[in-house]
Amino acid sequence: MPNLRFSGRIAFLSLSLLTGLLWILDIMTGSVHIPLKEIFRILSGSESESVAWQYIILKIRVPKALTALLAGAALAVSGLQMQTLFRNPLASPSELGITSGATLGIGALVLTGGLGAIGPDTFRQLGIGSSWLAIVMATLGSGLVFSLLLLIARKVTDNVILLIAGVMIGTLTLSLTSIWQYQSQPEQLQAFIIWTFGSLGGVTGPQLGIFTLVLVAGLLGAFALSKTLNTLLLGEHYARSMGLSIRRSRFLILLSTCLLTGTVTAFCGPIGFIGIAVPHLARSLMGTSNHLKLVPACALTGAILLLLCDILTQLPGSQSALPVNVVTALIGAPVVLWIIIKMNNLGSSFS
Amino acid sequence: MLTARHLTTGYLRKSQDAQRILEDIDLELIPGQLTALLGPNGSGKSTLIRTLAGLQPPLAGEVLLQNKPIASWPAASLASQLGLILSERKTAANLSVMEVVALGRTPYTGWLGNLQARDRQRIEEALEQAGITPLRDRKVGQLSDGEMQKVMLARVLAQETPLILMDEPMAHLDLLNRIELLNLLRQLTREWKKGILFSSHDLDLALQLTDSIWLLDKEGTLLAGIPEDLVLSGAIEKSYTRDGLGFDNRTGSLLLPSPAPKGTVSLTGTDTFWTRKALERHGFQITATQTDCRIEVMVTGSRFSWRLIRNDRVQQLSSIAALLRELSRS
Repeated sequence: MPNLRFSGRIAFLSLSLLTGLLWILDIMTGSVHIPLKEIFRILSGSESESVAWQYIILKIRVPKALTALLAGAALAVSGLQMQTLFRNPLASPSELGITSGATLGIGALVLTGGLGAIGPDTFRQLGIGSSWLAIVMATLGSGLVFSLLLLIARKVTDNVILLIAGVMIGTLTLSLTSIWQYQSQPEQLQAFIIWTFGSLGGVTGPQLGIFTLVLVAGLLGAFALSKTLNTLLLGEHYARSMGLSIRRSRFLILLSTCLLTGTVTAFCGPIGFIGIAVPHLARSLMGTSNHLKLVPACALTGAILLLLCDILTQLPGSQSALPVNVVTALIGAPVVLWIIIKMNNLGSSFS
Repeated sequence: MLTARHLTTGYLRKSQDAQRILEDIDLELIPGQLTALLGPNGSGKSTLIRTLAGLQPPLAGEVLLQNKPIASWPAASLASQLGLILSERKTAANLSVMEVVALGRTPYTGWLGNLQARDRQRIEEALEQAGITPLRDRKVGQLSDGEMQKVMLARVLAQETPLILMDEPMAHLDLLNRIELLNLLRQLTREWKKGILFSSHDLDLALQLTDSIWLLDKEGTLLAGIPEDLVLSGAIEKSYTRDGLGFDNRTGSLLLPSPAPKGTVSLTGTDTFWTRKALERHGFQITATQTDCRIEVMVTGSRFSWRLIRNDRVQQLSSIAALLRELSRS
């Protein structure tokens, strides 16, 4: 198969190049225009002619672009893991309520007084301890929803019913979150609403370090699970007959997915559509279901898509920016519709 | 060797008593033997196979693999002893044939599943044995049912297990593919000393090609033996008799309900086998003595023709269909 391998390499090379290109482009866009030459000079560590530019690039745009890159990769890979585990083309963190689980975890943290209010700047204002706490709570929250889903998935095999169950659990957790919202101060509420719009700009300084550490670990974990995910493609009975410990695999996949989704949700808000759309894009792009190729391809495609969305939040010629969730929905919803209409494609991933 | 002692299969239910399907059966699956599991729909073939494979717990009794309870085997070492082909057809259409077969090496590959030289060699051999080497780069979504079944077989061969259990491997296959598959299974038991159990509805083929048969009936009993013994003891006849359908112990084939009698004809000629079959199926009785209605089968070269003589009227016919049409016109 030298041909196949060759085309695979070309695909990876172009995806990586595109990721790098969009990353630079994301740094270039913003309300303040900074010349490209200056950007490269600042990125390479030299002094810039403007201190303000240097501050904007290093303290705002680079962290934001890095966050977009990592969050996109994380959400896409957790979507892929969920789709394979549930053998359901419509499974993804936001569709099955994992994201709302993370929201609940954060809400519980705020309610018990661990955080003042959740908002784009929460973690910037608070210390490192609170970001670890937020990661743990969000991961626990999403883990709770995920475990419930696994229990339900044992009883029902129908994809659509599982999806409805996921939506119900999502609604349930959101209503629990609403109880907290109802008892909050107006300022807290406003901060929460802004948080739900999704923001990639709130992760800076030491938080960015923690964010990067956890997500890279989660992504590497997901890649290490490639063999397990591949074996699960033939269904759990076959996977077991080929020597896979189903309980252990489920737990590891749950852990990796919840760590990725929980962390992204805690820091950036509930970002939708990347998790459901990217695995399908990556599958048709790579023409394979082999997770050794799909996990990296999903990570790159997810990064590309979220970088692109972040670039588009900055409306050309405008000083104001759209929330990132609005843009992912604008791009993601048509992709999901396209997947559903092209039912052949949807059915063929898992049949 | 896989043995079952006092095995009761079925499903536990919370609200009522457990649903027992097979009760207190003893079984032995021996390497080097091809065994067919026969029985009507709903007699518990799949449940038995899943129980033997350790996918579902027995209600009573035990399943032993090399004298150790199957539940006590770690998943990874069990996978090197017992291979499985299930009736569920779950695949990912995007996987290539090669990738699916390579999954059979799962128990032997490292944590990322990278294939070593030995794995590649076994995969090639498995593709070769299943006769699907030309399909290796095709996507499994594009394959026919028969081809897909061979891919699943190659996968289980790549797994290198001494024992293989198959649930309905021949469902969806046409006759030639079924014979081909059974022959292949037989060869595997002969040359590689594998012990293979497959469930099937194909009585004729099972009688001709297997070393032993496990026969289930609706009452939840299981009879095991070599095909000929089961025929002579009347066990097959008993389980395959229902409402005018039956099993002919003499010819070893299934009997269909006989049609309403239409009359007696005499049949002469050199090669009357198929003409006789057609006439009998339409309810005509055949005698050797002279009757009012005579049929002569004539062969010139490889061409057949029929002469129908009724009440001294002679007709020349060129096909059995025409002959039957004439006969029913009277």
